[in-house]
Parts: sequence; structure tokens; C-alpha cells
Amino acid sequence: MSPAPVLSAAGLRKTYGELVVVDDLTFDVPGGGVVALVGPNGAGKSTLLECLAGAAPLDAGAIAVGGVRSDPSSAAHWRQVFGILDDFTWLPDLTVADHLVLMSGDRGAEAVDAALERFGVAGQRDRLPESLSAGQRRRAALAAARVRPWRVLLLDEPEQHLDADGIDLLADELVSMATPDRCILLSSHAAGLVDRLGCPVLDLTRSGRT
Amino acid sequence: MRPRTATGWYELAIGAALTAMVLYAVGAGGVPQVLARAEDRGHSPGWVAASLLCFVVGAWIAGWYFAGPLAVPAARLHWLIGREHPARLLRRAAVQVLLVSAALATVVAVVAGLALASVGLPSVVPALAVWVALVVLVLVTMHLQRRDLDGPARWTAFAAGAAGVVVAAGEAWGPAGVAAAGAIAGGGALGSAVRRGARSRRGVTAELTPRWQLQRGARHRWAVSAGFTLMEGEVVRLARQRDQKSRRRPVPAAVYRLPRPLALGAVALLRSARPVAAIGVLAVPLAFATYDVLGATPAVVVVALAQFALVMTTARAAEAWLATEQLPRVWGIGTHEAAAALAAPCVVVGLVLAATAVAGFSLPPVAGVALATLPVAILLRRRSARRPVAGLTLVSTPMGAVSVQSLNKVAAGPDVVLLTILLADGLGEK
Repeated sequence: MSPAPVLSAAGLRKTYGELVVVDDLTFDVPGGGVVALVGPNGAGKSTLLECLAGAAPLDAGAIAVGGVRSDPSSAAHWRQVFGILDDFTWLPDLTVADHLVLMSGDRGAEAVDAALERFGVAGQRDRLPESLSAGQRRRAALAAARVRPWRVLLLDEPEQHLDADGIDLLADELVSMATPDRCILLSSHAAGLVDRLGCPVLDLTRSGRT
Repeated sequence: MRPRTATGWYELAIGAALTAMVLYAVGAGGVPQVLARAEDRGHSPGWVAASLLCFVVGAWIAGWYFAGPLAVPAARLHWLIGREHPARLLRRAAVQVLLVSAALATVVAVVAGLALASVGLPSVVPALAVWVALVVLVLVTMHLQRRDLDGPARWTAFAAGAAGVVVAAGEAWGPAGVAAAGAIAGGGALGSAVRRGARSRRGVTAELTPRWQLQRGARHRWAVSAGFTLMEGEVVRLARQRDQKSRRRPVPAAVYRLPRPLALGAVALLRSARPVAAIGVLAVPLAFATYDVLGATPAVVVVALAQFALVMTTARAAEAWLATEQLPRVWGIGTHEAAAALAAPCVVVGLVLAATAVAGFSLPPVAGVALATLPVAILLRRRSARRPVAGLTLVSTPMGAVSVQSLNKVAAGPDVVLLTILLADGLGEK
């Protein structure tokens, strides 16, 4: 018996004027599952993730998290769905550790230190994110995904700016973070990462239509 | 900067005339009224004038710090750098700055002389002394900046303001006031100077020394957009990176145990604690001294201006955060909760200052409420002014076409302060 879906999407549609980016898309991501969105540039991967995260409004369709319908523009949805998308912004004046501890809820500073250590950015804990390299910032964002409570994790090309070791680490972490009550949906152009994850693929090549 | 057309010269002349009118009104009307009021209340107009002068000097230094004493427009540098050494260009710019500062110092000195003469105090020698002091201060600031001693250059403005507070406190409460205000302001300044001295910027920024302007421009976005500085992407990037590389002390762990929106507000407050403390150290004693020397209305003005400065300081980060739509999604809290949490520091500071004013100046609670709501009002007003609007509306003025949206952005904040002062003062009189 396959595990119950944690994320369910039915009849999703998103348009930008005349351009239909996502058209009548229905899919489930089961608990403990990682699903990779693939497709060429402009296929609608980032747009789909933005809609699921509540960063962009859907034109039609319904989203359910844990079997319960969820409004992507509500704080309740945001508590369950964590997205590291294109617009992931670090805040001025807060250190990397400040960001993570504030996101971590009850998990506390120890969990933050462990996550930063795991992603190889423990030495940057008291630095401002703007002073980090793009790769270090990406690692810190992924560390945030370890400490922030979520049920659905959305990642838009998480391999960006990461070196080869970082991509290996990312693959290992994604597998370990996808516990039975959670799921991960990521978009990627890195065939190596998708192969390594060995996860189901949702090909959006035919989803977008003009 | 130099006008190139007849219209440009006309606009410059109109601007200069308007400024001269305002300064004359201040020198011949505003300041003498303040001095006369102090005299009526049994205080020495001379010391009050000295205190005011300290603030003028502080504003003078801060103004030059803002504008930057050494500047060559980037476009000019681009064409000239092949023929002339940048140091020579900067020296020429320095001479120009000195000439301009001497002219401006003359205006300030004349205003000071007018004010002193109108209350029967000696005016010529003090006015000359003011002129010399202002020009010397520009020279000193330039010298410090050229030697990469950026911190002392900036802290000179704070020291002048602190001196003004000490003089005002001395006039209000005698030697005890001098000792108390001196201890508070001096202690803070000394502590900061010692801490800054321990990690002096000198040497760290040495490779940028001849082009100090670039570094200053990189730190202050308003200076960049004002176009005063020589901008060069790589140096700007370097300077910004250096500023940001400094590590920050962690926020106390207990803060994070608060409920999430509260924790966010507390962290924002703690991160802006230092400028808040610096402004508070000057503003609170000054407000009480002003109340004693001049009465409730000027004291309310001081409190409202202090609130404005504090909000601008604490809100700068908050405004950047609130512009990020992604923030509530990342924190997993509602949009309004995030906005409220980030506005919390301003509200806390506003409440403390309002409570101080109500208790200290015997203001009615309604006036206190007006002061307490000021920070939130400034934040809301600034947010509304920054909201993008379609199209551009221009109005014709004697100084040429002006964008209404730009005017709105500049006025957003100070207009609410003025309204609150009028409201609090009006309510306080009843």
C-alpha cells in the first residue's frame, strides 16, 4: 500500500495574460517522497513552485496538505509549506544564525548550530548573509530547511551555486529530510542530482501551452 | 553641479533667495524669540545661544559628512583621470569645497550675529568666532577622512551635539546638570570611542584612501543617489563587503524563546539598540533641559524630533524587510503579524518617550497618546509614500518642474511629526 499523499494538487492552472504556463496539472507527492520537476526553461517549474508556496496566485485548482485543503495565501499554509525559491531573501541586520534561530521555532540554537555544521557553514553563523558567497548563502538556506518546521519543502533549482561536494550533500540531506509525514518537491536542471535521488519525475514540458 | 543654462542660474538664484529668506527669518525672528523666552524664564540667553550653536556645529559637521568634502563627479573623473592624477583632482575639489564652506559659514555666522544682536548680546566677535570654527571644522573633517579616520570624523558631530546637551543641562540645573549630562553623554561617547579605537578602520581601508569618497558612497545609498561621489562598482562592492564582514554578537538566547512575532520584534530592537541608545542619550536630557529653560512646547518639539530620528534609525531595516513579500512565507506568520512585529521596536521606543514626556512635562494623557502613536504614524506614512504609483505627476514651481511623488517621499515622515507637534502642543495647552 502506497503512503498517503502529503501534497495533493488538482487541476492547477496559471496564466500570465495570454500565456498559459501551467494547464490543468494534477499530481500527488506521497509522504516520505521526493519528486523532481523537470522541463526546459519556461516550462513553468518555478511558477508552479511559486503558486504552491503562495508567492503567486493560481488561476484555478486546489491544493491539499496532509489531505486537508489549504489556501496558499494563508499563514496556516505557510507554516506547513516552506519554499526556498528565487525570491528567497535574507534580511539586513540579522546574522545567519539569527535567521535560522528565528525560523526554528522551539528547536533552539543547538539545532541551528548542528544544521549549519552539517552544511559546512558553521564558521559563518555570526556573519551577515550579504557578506557570504552565493554558494555559502545557498548552504545556509538549505540549513534553514533542516531547522524550520514544515510538511512540504519546495526547492527551486537547489543545486544552484553549489560545488560538487555540496550537491552530494544536498542529495543525502534531501533523502534524510523526507520523513514519512513530509515530502519534497524540487525543480532541477541537474540530471545528476535527479538520478542520484532516484525519485519520480514530473515532466512539465507539455504542461505549458501558448 | 554648476548650472549650464540661464534657466539653471535662475533656479539657483531663486533657491538661494528662498534659503536666505528662511535663514534671515531664523536669525532675526526665530532664534531671538527663543533667547528672549529663556531670559523671561530667568535663564542666560548667552548660554542658551551657546547650546544652540553646538547643535548648529553638530549639524554642520553631519552635513559635510553627508555631502562629503571631497568629491569629483564620476563623469568628470572618467575623462580627466588619463591626464591628471586623482590626488590632484581631489585636491582641487577640496579647494572648491573650502570656498563653498567658507561662503556657507559666512551665512551661518551672519545669522548667529543677527540673533545675538537682536537680544542685545555682543555679535561681531562671536560671529567671527563661529565663522572660524566652522571652517576649521571642515578642514579637520577633511583631514580625518583623508587619513581614513572615518569614525572620529563621524563622532565629532555627536560630540558637538553632546556639548550642546551639556551646556543646556548646565543652564537648566547648574553644575549638577553639567555633571550628570556630561557623565551620560561623555560615558557613552568614551565607551564607543574606546571600542571603535580597538578595531580602528585605519589600514583596513588603506587601499581606498585616495578615494575615500567611494567608500563613503558605498556605505550610504543616499549619497550614491545624490550623485556626490565618485562611484566605481568594484570599490563599492569591496567597501560594502568589508562593512558586512564584521561579525555581530549573537542575540541573547532568551529572546528566541518568545513567541515568534515577539521574538522577531525583539531581535529587530536589539539589532538597532546602539543608535537608539546614542539618540536617547542626547534626546532625553535635552528634552528635560529644554522644558526647564524654554517650556513645554520646545520640549515637545525635541521629543517629537527624537522620535523621528529613532524611527528613521530603527525603521530602515524594517522597511527593507517589509518590502520583501517573501518574509511572512519564510517565517510562516501572517503578513500583518510580520509588519506588527517589525514595527514593535518603534512602538516601544515611542511609548517610552511619550510616557517620559507626559510624566516630565505634565502633558495631558491625550497629548501623550499623540506622541505615542507618532512612530506608527511615521511608519505608515512612509509606507504609503513608497508604494509604487502609475505615472508621474509634475507640478510647476518657480524652481522648475517637480515630481509630486518625489516631494511626497521627502515629506513623508516630517509632515506627520509637524502635525503631532501641533496636536500635542494644542492639547497640552488646554
